[in-house]
Amino acid sequence: MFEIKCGENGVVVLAGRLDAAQAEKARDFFASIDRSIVVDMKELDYISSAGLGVLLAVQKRLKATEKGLTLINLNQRIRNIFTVAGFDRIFEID
Amino acid sequence: MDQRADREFGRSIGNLDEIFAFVESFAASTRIVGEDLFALKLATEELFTNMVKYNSSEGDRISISLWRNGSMIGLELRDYRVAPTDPDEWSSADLSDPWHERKIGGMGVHLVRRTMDELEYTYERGTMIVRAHKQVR
Repeated sequence: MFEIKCGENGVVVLAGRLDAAQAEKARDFFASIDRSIVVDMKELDYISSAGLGVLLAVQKRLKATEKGLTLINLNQRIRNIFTVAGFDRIFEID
Repeated sequence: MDQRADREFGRSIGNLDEIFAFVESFAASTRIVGEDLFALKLATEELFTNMVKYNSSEGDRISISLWRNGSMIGLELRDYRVAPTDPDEWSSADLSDPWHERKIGGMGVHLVRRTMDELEYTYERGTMIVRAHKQVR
């Protein structure tokens, strides 16, 4: 399953599997975000294009006002998917 | 020795939990793990959701077959009673576009092509058949 929540210090935490069936849940959560934030993906096991699309839409909206997402703790498989999708050029990834 | 699992699922994104359980069960019984399992799950999801989203179908089921033959693993999806369509239209995103020009959708097929070794589509007597396979790492 998939979870998205605010953790300590305003960090957004993603956990589980962000697939097409869960994309709307992520989209609804991020709709209220209007500032630069850190997204901790340590507990995220899986992401597909639907999840990538949600993150891209948020990033495009935030960057229009010179804000943005910083992604941290990506596991190697998710980091590879980000690279394949060209997202390593779109997001700050630590 | 060939190992294979076949199952039909309703044409709905809401069935993804069942589909992932099916893939993970097959992977556990055939020792598909790590990066290969990730690729198999991703391909299954992306191709299934594209069929649901883009195919005009009179049917209500999509069949998913998974197989392992030695060091090769693969999947086949069949969408029945569909109108002819061009799956190339599923991959509309240009991954080299800068962020402000990137389309939100259309990435799924790109991801499958980059994480599986082969991907092919055929259309036979009203059925769209999509096949992908890869060498286990």
